[in-house]
Amino acid sequence: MNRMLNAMALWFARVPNVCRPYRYYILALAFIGSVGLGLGIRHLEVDQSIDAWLSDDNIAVQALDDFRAQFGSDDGLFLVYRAKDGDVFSPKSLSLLRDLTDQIDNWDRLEPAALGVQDAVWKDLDHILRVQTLANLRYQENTPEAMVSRRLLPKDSEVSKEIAEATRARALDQDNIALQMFSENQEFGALVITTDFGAEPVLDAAQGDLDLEAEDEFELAFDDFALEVDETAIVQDVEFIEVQPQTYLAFITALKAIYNQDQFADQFEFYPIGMAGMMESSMDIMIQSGLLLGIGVVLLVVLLWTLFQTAAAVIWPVLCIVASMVWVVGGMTWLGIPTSQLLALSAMLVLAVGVADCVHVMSEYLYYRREELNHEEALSKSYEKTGVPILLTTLTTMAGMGAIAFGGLGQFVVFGITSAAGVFAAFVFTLFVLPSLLELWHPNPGKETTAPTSLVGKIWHIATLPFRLLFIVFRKIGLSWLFTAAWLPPLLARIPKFSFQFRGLIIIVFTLIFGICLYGASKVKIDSNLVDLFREGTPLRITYEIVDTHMAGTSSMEIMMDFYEEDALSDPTVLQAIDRLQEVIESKYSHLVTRTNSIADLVKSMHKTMQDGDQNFYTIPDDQQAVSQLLYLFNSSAPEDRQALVSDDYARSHISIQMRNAGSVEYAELLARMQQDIDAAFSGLSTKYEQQKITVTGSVALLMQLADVISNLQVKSLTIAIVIISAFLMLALGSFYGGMLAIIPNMLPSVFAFGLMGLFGIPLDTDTLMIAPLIIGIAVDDTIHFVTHYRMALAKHGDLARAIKEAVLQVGQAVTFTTLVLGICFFMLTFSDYLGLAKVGFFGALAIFVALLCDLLFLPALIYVFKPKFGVKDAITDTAPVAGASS
Amino acid sequence: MMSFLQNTALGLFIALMSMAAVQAQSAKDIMIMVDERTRQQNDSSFTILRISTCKYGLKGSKVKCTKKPVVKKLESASITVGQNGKDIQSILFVREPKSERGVGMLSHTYDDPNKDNETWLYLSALGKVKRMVASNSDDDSEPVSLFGSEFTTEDQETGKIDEYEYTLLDTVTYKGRKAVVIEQVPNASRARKSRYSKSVMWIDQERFLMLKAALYDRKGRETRRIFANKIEKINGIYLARSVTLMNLVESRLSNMALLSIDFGVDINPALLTKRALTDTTFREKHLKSLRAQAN
Repeated sequence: MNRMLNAMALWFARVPNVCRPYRYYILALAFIGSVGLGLGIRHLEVDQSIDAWLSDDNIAVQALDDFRAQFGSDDGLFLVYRAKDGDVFSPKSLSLLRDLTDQIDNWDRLEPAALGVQDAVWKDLDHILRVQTLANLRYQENTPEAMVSRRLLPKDSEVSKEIAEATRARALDQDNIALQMFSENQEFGALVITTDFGAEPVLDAAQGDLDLEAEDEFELAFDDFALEVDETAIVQDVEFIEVQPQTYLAFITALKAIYNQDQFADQFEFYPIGMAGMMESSMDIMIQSGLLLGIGVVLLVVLLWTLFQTAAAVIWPVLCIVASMVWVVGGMTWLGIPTSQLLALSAMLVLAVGVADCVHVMSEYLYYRREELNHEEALSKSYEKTGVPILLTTLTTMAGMGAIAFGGLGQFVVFGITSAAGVFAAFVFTLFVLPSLLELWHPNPGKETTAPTSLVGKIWHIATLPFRLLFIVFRKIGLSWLFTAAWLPPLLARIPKFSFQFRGLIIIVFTLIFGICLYGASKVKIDSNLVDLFREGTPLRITYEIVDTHMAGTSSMEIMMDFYEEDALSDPTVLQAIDRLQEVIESKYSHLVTRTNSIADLVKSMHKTMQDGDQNFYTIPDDQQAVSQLLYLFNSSAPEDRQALVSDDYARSHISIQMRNAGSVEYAELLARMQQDIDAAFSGLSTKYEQQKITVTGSVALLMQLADVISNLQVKSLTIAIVIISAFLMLALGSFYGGMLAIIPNMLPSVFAFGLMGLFGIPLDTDTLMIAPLIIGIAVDDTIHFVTHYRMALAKHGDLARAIKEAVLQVGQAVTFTTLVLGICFFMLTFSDYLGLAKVGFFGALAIFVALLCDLLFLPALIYVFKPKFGVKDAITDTAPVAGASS
Repeated sequence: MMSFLQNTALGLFIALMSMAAVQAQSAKDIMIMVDERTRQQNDSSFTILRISTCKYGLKGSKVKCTKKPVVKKLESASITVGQNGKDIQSILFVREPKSERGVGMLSHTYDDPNKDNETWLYLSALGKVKRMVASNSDDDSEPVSLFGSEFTTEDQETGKIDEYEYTLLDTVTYKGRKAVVIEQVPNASRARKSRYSKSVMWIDQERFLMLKAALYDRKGRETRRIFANKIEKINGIYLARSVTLMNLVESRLSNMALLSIDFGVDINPALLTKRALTDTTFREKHLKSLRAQAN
């Protein structure tokens, strides 16, 4: 093993020399590849739907697909408004609402330029199919003689106080529109905008030169047409256009331009709910995250600059890391693979691994340059020292990410493969491109700076003037000690002795922390709550809180019913069972459920209408023929609404449940209890409809599945990651015992992060759950660098204490640098308004610093106590370290 | 809500099938003739229709229902009244399915735009007659389905010639017949109410019968198609006994089969009153007489 590792180290030492003659080809290839792949990023697709996270054969996804196939999808916009005068039925509110409804309904008559909207954005309003508000909603006026369909608010007359009051009275008299169209306190109202999002067919627009004589397959099929049934006939299902985020964004931008006009904005405050509304918040979050990451990268550059104090050691590594990310993201886009929010985590991982790779190389390189080696020798030596650990960390991280990908679940596969590819790209760039770049321009530590003579040199000199001035200021006020990490070498020099002297105490303290955090981690709850992921005061959170408090709520669930028998849904006993179930759900779970709606409500409403509006007839008739005829009436007047509610053969239907937002734990309890109610409600029908199947579906049910799937996957991937990392460490150290010993400091950072969450009652959500592989990836990176250096030093000197000292001094600096850089980058995410990302940032940063302490204190202490020889024969293991610089 | 009740299935059928004395006329002239003939055909007619709706698929190059279709069988009688015979009175009864048997609709349609059309609906199981009121001037009434089928009231409207622009696209041979192809595009005000941006119709040049129509949605995509089959000469008039509308997006079709049609039938005006809706004996007596004439 030793021999193989040494051979590999020597191979890596030769890489810079082999690359040198081909450096221009390598750089040209890297440049062309980066530009070519980078061009693809413009077409990056982000799939934000929940079902994209789960595989197609998942039961919940199948149930939802089944539901959508039968009843269609409902991707509209619910535009809630607050009347500033506190009354949506005031003459002013109604009058302006009527204007607004009319403007949205007739958007094509408005002048987009006058509203400051570009034509290209404006045209996306043609997705609007229908606008329903208090201003255009109709009601049935009943008399024994006639049934008249009228508007709640008369269409043309001026809205006087009397008309407004009459409208209020009529609206309050309607079944099932309160909470949907106006709040109980009548301060809030809503515009229900139906769109064709997700329901727009993929059909070619008619061409100008239509072939009027052509006969297609339908025309041929209609020769001698007879109405016959054949269940095996192939239905040519039309695909629907997938809505792109930019479509939602354009739509909401154009709509906002209408409702934000002065006259409306003076009277109303608006709160959009729905994908289009969400998309704006998502984009804001993405822009903010990008900004925070940008600040992180600037800090990274500044830190690298202050630590290395040479521009080449900053610019080339940053270029390599950025190019690695471009290759992966661009490659995905060109391959047409849509990504998810997990892309940010992939980017962070590539950043982490790339920074570590480059910092280790540069740190060693500068170390040897200061040791008076020339550029070629220093480069060769630095790759000899770092090549093997970089390869090992790359393979380990790739294996860990591969474990996630092999889970086979939707976006996780993409995440796993992307991350593995990114880490590999970072490795390739560090190994081949970085030395080629260093050939162009390499740092000369210790060399006196002379006035530049070339034009480029002069420009550079001027461009870097602010930095140099900053350093002068730092030097004057004594901060250069802090920023240039001048404190680090003396501190590192003391660590071996310190960790030897207090080895027992260190082990006890770390083990205690490990134990406590393990207990905390066992207490951690997985609870995904969308609203809780956004900071107080963010627009999305305010909107959700308002809609949950005053209107019908922001979540929904569907109870899908299949009786496998024609006309089951016109059977009064079935409808009565549905009606009773709705009553139970509405009364038992009123803290979450705001309203329910089903075919039973419809039949009751039609029954009442046909009986002169008498409330006593708001019931389900006992006669099946009466029910059939009421449904006939509905089917004739609104067949599309009927299709969305019940199947053609009246065998399948659904109950829609509108709910307030809650966490996945609360939803899970609700689902479990509701299932019992469902079983109880339909048990009496099981003899009549033996095959009846009642299932719960909808986005909430899918969210439950997602949380469940992620937590299971997390446990699985963590277990696999630990096994793989242990195997790699054993291999790298050539010792089973040593590998087992080294795995403990790698587990501690993750356990620490999760433990703290458990102890402080911070729930894990679907985003935060994903940090474990990230933390392990970063932690193991440092550990591998440390132990491989230690092992090499042990093999070289045969002295445990000296090997630890050398490893701490040489690797300690690079490990501390990467920790500082990555820790600060992660910490920047803490400022995100999206708490899913902020938590990743905070706990990620914390774990990174814990990982450093584990490598510098815990691991040496363990080695001192347990004295693993890592396969090195005759190693001296009983000497105490001496403080001071390495020889 | 119930504006569809202003129209009858027969109106739809005739609108689709109407013959026109099409010579070398402009497209608009042809459509005016079609409209005029539709009104004439409404007088004293007795019809039995069957509308079947199902999801369809292709099997061995034939269109087949993939599930048992939902079938409605209807009987209808209508007369023209008023000045110049421009007002229409019609009554319609559902014969099948059994659960909807006895459901009836009585419609009085007035040519005068200032007079509201009247429709009475009768649900036999509840024993209630209701007058449905919907104003002619209500510009936001949406096209609604005919008995829950894919056919809508928009597919059968008459008298709206001026609301469209017509273009004669070509003269072609379609299924061995000479046909003129006419494009119908709604004007701005009509377009707002219509679900179609245009229709292209193939009309048999000799028999003056629509053979096929392609209907385009607001974004210019063909979403529906109408085919006429089983063309026969009845009472000296060429008619298709089977008209099928295919919804190309949802793969659903509705077939309207003309089981029988008789023109110039002697219809007692008493049948076109509210009494006929509620009084089964009275209604059956009159219908029996009509069925006898038809036979």
